[in-house]
Amino acid sequence: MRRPSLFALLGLRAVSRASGGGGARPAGSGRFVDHVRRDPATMLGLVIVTTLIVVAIFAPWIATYEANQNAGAILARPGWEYPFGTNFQGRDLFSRVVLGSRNSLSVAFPSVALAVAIGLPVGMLVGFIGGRVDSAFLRLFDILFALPTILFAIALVAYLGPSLKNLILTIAILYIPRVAMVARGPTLSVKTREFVLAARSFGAGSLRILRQHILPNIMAPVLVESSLLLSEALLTEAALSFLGLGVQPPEPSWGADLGKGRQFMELGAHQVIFPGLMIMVAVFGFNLLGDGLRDYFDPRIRRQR
Amino acid sequence: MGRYIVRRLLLLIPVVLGVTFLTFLLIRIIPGDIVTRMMGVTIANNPETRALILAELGLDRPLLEQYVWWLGRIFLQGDFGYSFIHGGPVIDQILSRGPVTLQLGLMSMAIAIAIGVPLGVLSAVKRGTALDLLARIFALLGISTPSFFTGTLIVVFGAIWFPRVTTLGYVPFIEDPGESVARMLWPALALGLGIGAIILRYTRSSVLEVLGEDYVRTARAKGLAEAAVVFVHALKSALIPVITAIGLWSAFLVSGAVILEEVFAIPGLGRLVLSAIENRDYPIIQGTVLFLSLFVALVILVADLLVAAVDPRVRLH
Repeated sequence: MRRPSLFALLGLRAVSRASGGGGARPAGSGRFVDHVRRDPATMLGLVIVTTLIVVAIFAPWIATYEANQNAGAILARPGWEYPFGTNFQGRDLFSRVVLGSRNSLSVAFPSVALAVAIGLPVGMLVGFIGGRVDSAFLRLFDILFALPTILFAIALVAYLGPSLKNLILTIAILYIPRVAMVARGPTLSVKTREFVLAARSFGAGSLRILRQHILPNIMAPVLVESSLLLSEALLTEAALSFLGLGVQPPEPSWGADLGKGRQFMELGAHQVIFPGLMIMVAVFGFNLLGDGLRDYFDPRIRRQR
Repeated sequence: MGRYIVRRLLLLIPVVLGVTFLTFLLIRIIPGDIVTRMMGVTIANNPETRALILAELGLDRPLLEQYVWWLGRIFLQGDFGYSFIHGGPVIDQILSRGPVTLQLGLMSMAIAIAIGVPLGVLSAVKRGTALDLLARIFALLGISTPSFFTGTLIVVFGAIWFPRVTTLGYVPFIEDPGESVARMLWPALALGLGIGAIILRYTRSSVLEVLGEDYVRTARAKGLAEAAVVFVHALKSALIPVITAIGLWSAFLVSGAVILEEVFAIPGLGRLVLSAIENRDYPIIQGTVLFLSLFVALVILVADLLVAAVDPRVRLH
């Protein structure tokens, strides 16, 4: 438990105190809130993710200009008037970054949700049935692991055509096996436990056992994986948009704005820095949160750190 | 060992079949009429040209037959089809661009290992110190920063601050090896930093795990110096999972290389794919994706064999 004090060296403790102060509850071990309070890194992740979601929801009220509105100055440096500067079309980058959060999150969340909605039942069933089905599934996973994800996403979008729907679909398809794999493991071990056998001996059907007894026990690893997948989905969306295969300009998108900004970057590095930083901060937040969730659910790892 | 290699090679067969089948499906999922999408309405309406294109793609036969025919062409004749734009064989393009991407990939991996393994070991051994914290923050930032952002920053600030050192652009390795490596260093660094961060995390947790094992405690108990414990006893087994991880992350490396080629204007397979997408040159896209996926499968195989060579548990299991 030396980590928090070291984080304090970097001033990260301040974050934990400031946001963890209100609504204090007596410590009851095992609650996520308490885990977060003890772990500034997870707290930081939670703050970033929450802020991001709030910004995305209230984006039109936070943005000072419309995404494609001429803000009155071309390639203005960051300052009071334009916090992140303006681009070569005179569009306010702060507003575009704020509004772009909507596009990033509205690709990342649905694609991961879709991947979980399909991958979770598939993984559970495969683990539950076991035997041949299970080993066939493992072979399939070997195959999907060899695929360079972004390259395959590039190809998929190239064939399907770039659109928000295809972007979500593509990322979801790529993540289904990942979720299924995470759901399969614990199902394999939980299904042999006594309470499952007991339920069976009372005459519970397979569907009921899966839903009532196995599902609650595999939610934790699936939740951890989802958080990490969200960070990857953000990266993949940004990469595809960067290459011009994702969110299409003039729609605001961090990846696309970063890619576009390169055109005239010698006239102002701010055009690439701010969209890039946003990608970085968002991915960082989901990664911290994912790591924190994993530590919370798996005390063995917690000790190891 | 011989038997393990044979078994591992047999396991490669379903992987190759699966990868080829998925790539094969790519061209068949295009919504709407493929000939119209590729050639435009005027040409698509000409029945003769239309039949010719469908035959060239093999789309005029039943699906399974198409697949077997396509597979046979690739593996028996090395025929990946023909580019719609230049007309030349796809395999020629892949073979001429491949070495460029390979150089970028190898240099990035070398940088990633040079950063990730020593820092990971150090971070685990000095666990809980400021050094460990710095290494872990670096790792977290590294995995959160897209390589195309790092690359873009290098291009922007390199040009502003060190216009002499950061000469970008590509020089073929055979023409001038020194210059070629020097210029490839920047994109390789952008890619290597991110993957180095991943390797760092693997190495750290693997070393920590091994340091907690009984035999390490025994080594310490018999009075060995800490350096001997770490370098002689712990590292050998701690680095085995790291090799596997490096193999698995090579798929990620390939994806990253594709994007960085675009950032640094390197004429490798990545730019080949991207320009093919712009031109709707489907055989090139399909061929390159297939080629790179098979390459990754091969790298994973090599990593597994390497692990088996070092670790008797794997090959005897």
